[in-house]
Amino acid sequence: MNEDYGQILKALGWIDKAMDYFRQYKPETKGMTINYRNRNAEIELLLYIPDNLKRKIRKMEIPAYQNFVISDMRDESFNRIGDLWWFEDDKWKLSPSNLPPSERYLLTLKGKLSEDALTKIVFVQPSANKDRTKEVERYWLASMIRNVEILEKLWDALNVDDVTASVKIGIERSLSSTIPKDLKGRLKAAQRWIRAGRGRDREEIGRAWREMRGTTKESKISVDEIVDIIYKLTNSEVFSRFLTLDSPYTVGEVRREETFKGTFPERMYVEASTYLTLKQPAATGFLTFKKKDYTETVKKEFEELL
Amino acid sequence: MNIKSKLNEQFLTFLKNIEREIQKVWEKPKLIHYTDHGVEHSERIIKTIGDLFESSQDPDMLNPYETFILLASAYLHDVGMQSARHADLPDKPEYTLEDKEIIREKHAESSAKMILESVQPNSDFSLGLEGCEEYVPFIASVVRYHSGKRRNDLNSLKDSSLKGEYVRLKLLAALLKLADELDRDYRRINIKELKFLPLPIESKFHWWTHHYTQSVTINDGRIKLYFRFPEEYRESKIKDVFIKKTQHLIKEELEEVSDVLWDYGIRLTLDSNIGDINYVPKGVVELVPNDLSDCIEEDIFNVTSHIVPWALPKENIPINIEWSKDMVFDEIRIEIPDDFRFVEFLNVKEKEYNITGNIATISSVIECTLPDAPMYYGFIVSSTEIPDKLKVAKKILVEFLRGDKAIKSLKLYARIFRPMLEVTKIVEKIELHDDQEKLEIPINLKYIGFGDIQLKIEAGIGGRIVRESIVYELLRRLWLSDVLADESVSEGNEGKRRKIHVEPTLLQEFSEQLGKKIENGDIAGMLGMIDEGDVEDFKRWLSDVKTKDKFMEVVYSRIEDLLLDLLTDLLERHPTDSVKLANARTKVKAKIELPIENIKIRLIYTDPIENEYPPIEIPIRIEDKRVKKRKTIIDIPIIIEMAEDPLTNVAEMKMEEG
Repeated sequence: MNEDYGQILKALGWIDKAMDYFRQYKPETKGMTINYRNRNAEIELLLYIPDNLKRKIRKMEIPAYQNFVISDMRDESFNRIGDLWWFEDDKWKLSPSNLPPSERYLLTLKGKLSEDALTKIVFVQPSANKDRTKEVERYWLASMIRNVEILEKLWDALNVDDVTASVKIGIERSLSSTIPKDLKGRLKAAQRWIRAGRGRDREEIGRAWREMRGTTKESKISVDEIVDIIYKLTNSEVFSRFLTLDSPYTVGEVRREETFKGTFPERMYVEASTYLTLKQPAATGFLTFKKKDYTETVKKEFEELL
Repeated sequence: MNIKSKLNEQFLTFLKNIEREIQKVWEKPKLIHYTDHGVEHSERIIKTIGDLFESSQDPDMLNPYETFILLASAYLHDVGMQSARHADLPDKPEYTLEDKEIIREKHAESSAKMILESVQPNSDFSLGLEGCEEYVPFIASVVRYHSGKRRNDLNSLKDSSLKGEYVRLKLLAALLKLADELDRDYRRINIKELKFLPLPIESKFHWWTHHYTQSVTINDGRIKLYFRFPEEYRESKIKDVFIKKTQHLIKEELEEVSDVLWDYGIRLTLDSNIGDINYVPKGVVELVPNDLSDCIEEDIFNVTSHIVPWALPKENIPINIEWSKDMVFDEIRIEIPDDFRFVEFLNVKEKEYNITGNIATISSVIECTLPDAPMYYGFIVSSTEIPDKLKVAKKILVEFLRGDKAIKSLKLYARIFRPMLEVTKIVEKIELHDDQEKLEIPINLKYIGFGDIQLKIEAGIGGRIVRESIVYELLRRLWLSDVLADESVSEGNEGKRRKIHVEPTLLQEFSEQLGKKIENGDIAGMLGMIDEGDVEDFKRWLSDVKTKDKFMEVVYSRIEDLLLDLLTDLLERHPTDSVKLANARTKVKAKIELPIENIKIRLIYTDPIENEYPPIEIPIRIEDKRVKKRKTIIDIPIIIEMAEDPLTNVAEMKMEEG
């Protein structure tokens, strides 16, 4: 059930610690973007660094918790301040006396979040099973911010980008049901060999082996040509053409999923990506795979081989 | 602050001319509206603008030109409410309510047009702008942006300059727009007229918030609201709805102009603490009409819900509910079916919900303070049982309660679909004769359920269950075709290597899996296909780097065949769109020693979330009629013929509760 505020803050790791460090400079969070897929987080803090004696004598040193980086700093006029920060002894350091005349500075920090932190921030679920029609297969997608208060307390403007729900789309039937006759002959011979292999009749195995070799010689299509086609049709760019997603979802990463690397893919791994904000805390929609079109394309490719 | 006192004599004269002409317009209006747009309204706006400046860091920030433009705009901004022609409506003796709503919608643009037109030489009307033509385009611009379709687009208004002085149009438009919105107390509307008009309910709600607003004050940048309500509402939550709605409207307005005003040091906040509520007798203040009262408790709260359109048994079902911030309720009650459970609540603090059996109550949800952010929460439920039926729809009741009364009820249906497998044909008895080395058992199955399943077939004879894996199958195939024993096959394989790209890790994985199985003594699957002695040989093969490499060399030389084989396997393992076989082949290898033996076949199927459905058990009697070969091991492959007629398009499927 719900985690309490402290636990979530703790899970946010470096952000919590950096915020804590900057507390003395009255930080105002101007924006926070979390990329769910790559777990990158970017936070913009407006710091108030008064031009007083403390500023002249005190050096700022922040331990680089979980390797976060200070990627940008700007003054009140939004001018980028050069490389005043330096990294030394696992700490980000700045001598405030070098700061140009301004009292407010916009600091951008970048770093990674743990998977645990993301899980505490966002709920994501695709349907476990597909619905289908004659034309398509579809999966529902649901995502939601788990707790707006915590996020709002930290950040007035929060974007969680690339919230991804992953779906595995089976393509084996699209491939197997369209295998051309010529290859099916080879497969039949191969099957005979396989079935012979189940027994202990070495003569039968030999006969099946020879038959299989024979069909291979006669065949116009080689296995590697079939493999090439399958690889072409499971290329992410090609496969993406057969996917549609309801707004606010878009297609993210698409790749083959293989039991053994290098063999025939049985499924395609598809990421449906969306974004969530405090004003749009939930997103629902469908991922649709145009299976009929895809199967027809596979068939056409095989026919062109003959 | 009296902003008019900032004007010099000339500007005061200009302004008096405008005031005089506009007074004429509103004294004998052509169109009667239920809202006040007359000179009194303009005077209140001017006072409010003065109050806004008092809250700023620089009360004298406007130059004289800007002050005049702003004050002239305050008098003229609603003049378009008196012109049907400028709202593109024809001249009529009477205008309908719909016409008047069109005029209202377009009035900012109409006012701007009229201001510009009024100083044209051939104009047939005057707005008192004669003599100050050079300011007219600026006045028109400020007026144009105070309402209507451009109201949210202040940033497209560009600042200008006149006689060497800035004319900060964006600032002026923001001030007029906000001051106009803040003139929102009961004086603004004619309730006697309004209450009988068949206005859209949203408009009614908007205008009734004015009726209940006693006063709006601005002090030190804090906007404070004072309300008055009929005595009857003292204990009613309906007043909270109006207070929230008013706060929401002002917050929205503030949000739209705050960036512009902030840039000029005018910092405003809405005081969340309202002043004391004044309860007055009915008659002085009207009760909300019935239709509005009903709608306040219904659709005006914009309650939306989403439940996923299908789910497997025991699958998590996410549900989310959103509504507008205006809705006031004491708690949310959720009732789920007895065979369901609550899995998780989203955007609800742990101490704010309580679960008792199949009922959960939520006392409050987490609220985002951003003005446009919706109120929402989510909850996840799942069924706890696997239903017998292929499809069931289970009701989930969500009620927003105020006191004991449900002010909003939502009936949501969790639609559960399950996979189902049927046996369509089996043989009850098989005879075994001397000339047989193999005993095929055909089983015809039909898939009629929803979604994908993985089917495991187990067969047992004398209690022994046999399963196989593809790794064993590959190994056995190579072994039995004498590949490993035949040196000549492995030599000279270089030339035969195909150009197929195979990930090197594939071979590595085969080798490792084989090695592990043999190392761990996991040889049950291999027995029957190779002798126990051979297993020892094999262990030696794989433990020696040289021979292992040689074995892998052979595997590599035969890779085309292996790939072909995997493809065949793919075909065999996916007999239909919905069914995947856990293993391509299942068979029992057994010595049948009794004259009558029973073979038991178990069909176990699981869905993608690993729900295991009640297995199908098929007993088949084997009558051994052999005389000579009674002691030989025979193969009993199970041949599955699959058909399917699955549930499709379940998202659109009509279902009855059950």
